[in-house]
Formats: sequence, structure tokens, C-alpha cells
Amino acid sequence: MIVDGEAVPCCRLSVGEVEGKQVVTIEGLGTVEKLHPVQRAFADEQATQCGFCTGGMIVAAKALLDQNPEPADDDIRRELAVHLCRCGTCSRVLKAIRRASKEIVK
Amino acid sequence: MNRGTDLDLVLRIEEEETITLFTAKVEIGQGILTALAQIAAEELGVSMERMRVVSGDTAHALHGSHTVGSNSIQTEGNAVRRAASDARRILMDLAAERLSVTAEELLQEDGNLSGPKGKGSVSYWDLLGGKSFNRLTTGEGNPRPVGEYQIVGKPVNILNLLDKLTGQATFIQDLELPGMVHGRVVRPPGYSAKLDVIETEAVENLTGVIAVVRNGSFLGVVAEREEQAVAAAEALRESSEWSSKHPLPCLEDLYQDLLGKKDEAFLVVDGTPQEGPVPEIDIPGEADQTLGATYSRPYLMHAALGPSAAVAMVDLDRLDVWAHSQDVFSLRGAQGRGYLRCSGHHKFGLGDLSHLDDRRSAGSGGRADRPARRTEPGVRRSPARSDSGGDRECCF
Repeated sequence: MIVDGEAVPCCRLSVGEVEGKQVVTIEGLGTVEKLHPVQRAFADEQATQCGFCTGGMIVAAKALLDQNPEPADDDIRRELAVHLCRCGTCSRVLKAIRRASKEIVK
Repeated sequence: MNRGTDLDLVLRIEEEETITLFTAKVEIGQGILTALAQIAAEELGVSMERMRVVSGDTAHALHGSHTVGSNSIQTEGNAVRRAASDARRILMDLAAERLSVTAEELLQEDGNLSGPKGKGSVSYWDLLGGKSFNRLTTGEGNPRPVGEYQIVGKPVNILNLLDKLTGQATFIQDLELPGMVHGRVVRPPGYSAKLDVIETEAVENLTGVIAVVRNGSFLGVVAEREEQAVAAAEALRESSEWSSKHPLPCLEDLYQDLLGKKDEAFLVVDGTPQEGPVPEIDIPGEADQTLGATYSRPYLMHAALGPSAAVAMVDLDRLDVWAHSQDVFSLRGAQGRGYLRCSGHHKFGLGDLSHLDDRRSAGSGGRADRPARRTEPGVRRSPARSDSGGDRECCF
């Protein structure tokens, strides 16, 4: 989730630690009817298989694009390094984030 | 399942103008449910929007199908193709009878069957919506020729893709049933380890702990809340003593440990491994220089795609289990209960929970009418979830 603009894994935080802070989770980004551009890009690139890591990937990508709307591939790899996809969708995730970046900058 | 299969275990025409496909195959990211829905939609001549899939439910699937070996399309795909073409044949015959025409005169479009001018039309849902086929498959339906395919072979969105992208509840870890309690298993330190000593009293008195479960060398704990179960399991682990003839190596020493194992070495000549001992390498006397190198690759684990979880609900003679299983029928067999329904839903949909709602309204699902703390192991009539955290998933 995004806490005051920074992507952090929620499993490492207790509720008390986010008191008074601004929190955005995957559920708060967009809906099936109205997807966030990052979610739209993940759909367009089919950048998910089992989907277990996808929520974290999308939230981390959103935080990255907020700070750096045109990240280099190395920036994307670095920021998403903690999100392991065992299905092997990593190259599609890269494509999706590049696509979302173009969409946001446009 | 080409012939003699109960068609109702494979397909159901719903009143809501949809078609449900039942399969024991489970989704593990390979897209099998989407592919099977495409095959069924193709044979039935309906759009993908009409297809629903119930996966890995032992109450609604053919026995014996498990999701292994990358052969689901070959086996289940073919079976679904046959069953769906049989179903289409049956529906066409029913429509022909209803409209007093021959099946050959019918035009089918997205589940709607129309006869020649003036003969009217009837739909799949008019004919069998909410009803059973009450037929066995015959293998007499003619699958569509590949050249006429409209849906198979064309890209479609993965079913439930948008749910996954928007954080909807799609995994067993997301399942929260009313009154649900939480379990954690304390893993032994090695294969065939024996639990020698365990002091349970202090753990039993921790906040929220409902029961410490010990059965031989199986050790676990049930608590009201997840973090209480995690803390209690850690306390149990610390107070347990085990003896093991085969302790597992710790992660830091894994590579050294592997080197210490019995190895297999063989000479490879032109890509073919040779039998017999590896001969000593003869260094020619005229060699100016000798190079030596050691190559290694990291330990590879045949691991699950992610942390697993299971939910169980006991109600006297009945146990419902939702687990990340690729073989729900074996799971059901392993439990040895009178009536057990297992659902795979491997990191996918939670499927049909309606039978849970029925039971809740009958007053058997909640926990409010029972004391918060019980002395007997296990908790009857309460749903319980046990998660295997990321730190435990590489245990056995």
C-alpha cells in the first residue's frame, strides 16, 4: 500500500503505525468499471498470471509513477524488486508500466 | 469421458441465461479455466460473456481429474469439447421438437434457436434454464470443425482478470467467514522428527488462544484472531523439543550441505552421458597450461507459487474444505470423513459460497452461541482458516 506517498508492504505494518497518515491500497485505486491507468495497462498487457503478486506490483508502480512519471527500465526494476512473480510475468509487467507511463504523461 | 458421463456434472444451463461449466481443473495462473470456457462456448455457440466456471469443487465435478503435467487442454479440453457438443445436440433436438421442425432447419445464435419463417424460436434457457440434462454423454454430438472456430484460438481476457487487478477477494487468504477462527501449524525441524517435550499451559493461557492441538508429533494452535495464532505458534515452537534423525540444513549452509551428499558424476561425450566411473583426466606432458574451474548453480526448489492457506468448516458429519490443492479428490480421500466437499480454487475464485449462506441462516455457522474458550482440541461448527506464511512455505 502507499503510505504518505511511499509504497510499503502492508504485512510489515500494524494498523497503529499508519495512524494519521494517508493510506492508499489496491482497493482504493480503481474499480472494475473505472480502472486506474496502471490497472488498465496491466489488463492491456495481460501482465498477470496467478495474480498473487499483482496487487503489490500495481500499487508499487503507482507510487513510482507519482514520483517519476517517466521511469527508466532500471528504475522500474529497482522499485519492484521486492515483488516476486513466480509465474514469470516480469517482462509483461515492465511493458505494462511503460504503457501506463505513456498514458499518464500524455 | 467421451461416453456415459453424467452431463449434469459438466454443464448446467442457468435460468439467468448463462451456462456454468464444472471442472476439477484449478486455475494456477495458466489460464485453464478461461481456455475450457472458450472450448465450451465454441461448441455451444454462445458468447464468452455467457460462460461461468465452477472449478475444483468435489460436489460438482467429475472424479479423478487433477491439474498436473501441463496436459489439461489435451485431456479436459477434449472432454469438455465432447460434452459441450453433446449438450448442443440435445438442445437442438429439444428445440426441434418444441418448434415442430427438424434440427437441421434450426439457426442457432448465442443460445437462441430459430426455425424457418413462421415457426418461431426458442432459447437454451427456455428449454433447460435451471433444469438438469438427466442424460449421459453419448459422443454423438459432432464437435465443430476447426476451420469454423469463432472463439477458440482467438485472444480473450482471462476470466476474473479485472478482479485480480482491483484487489477483489480472489484468494483463500481473503476468505473471512463470520465467526472464523485461525489456526497455525508448528512445523517440525526435519523429516520424521518426533515431538518429545511440549509445555502447552503457558500458550493455552495466551490471549485469544482457543486450543493447542497435539496429535502425536503434529502440533498446532487455534486462536480467535490471526495474529494471536501467529504469536501462539511461535511460543509453542520455542517451548517444543524435537528429536530428528534427519535434521534439515539451515539455509545459510545449504550449499555446503548439498556438496556433502552422495553425488552422481558421469562423463559426457558428444552430449551423451557415459556409464561407468569418470576416468581420471590425463594431462598431456606437453601441456603449457592447465585450467581448472568449478561450476555451480543455486539450489532450486519445486515450490508453490505463493504462500498457501486453507479454510475448513466442520458441521458434525460434514466437513467443507477450501484449499490450494491441485487435486481436490485426493484431498477429499485423505480426510476420510463421512461427507467432505473440497474446493481447489488455487489462488483463484472462491467459487460458490451459497451453501455456506444456507447453513449460516440455519444457525449452524456462527460461534456467538458457544463459549469463547473450549478445552477440547479443535473447534466444532466454526469455520477456521490456517495460513502458511512465506517464512514457512519452504518447509515440508
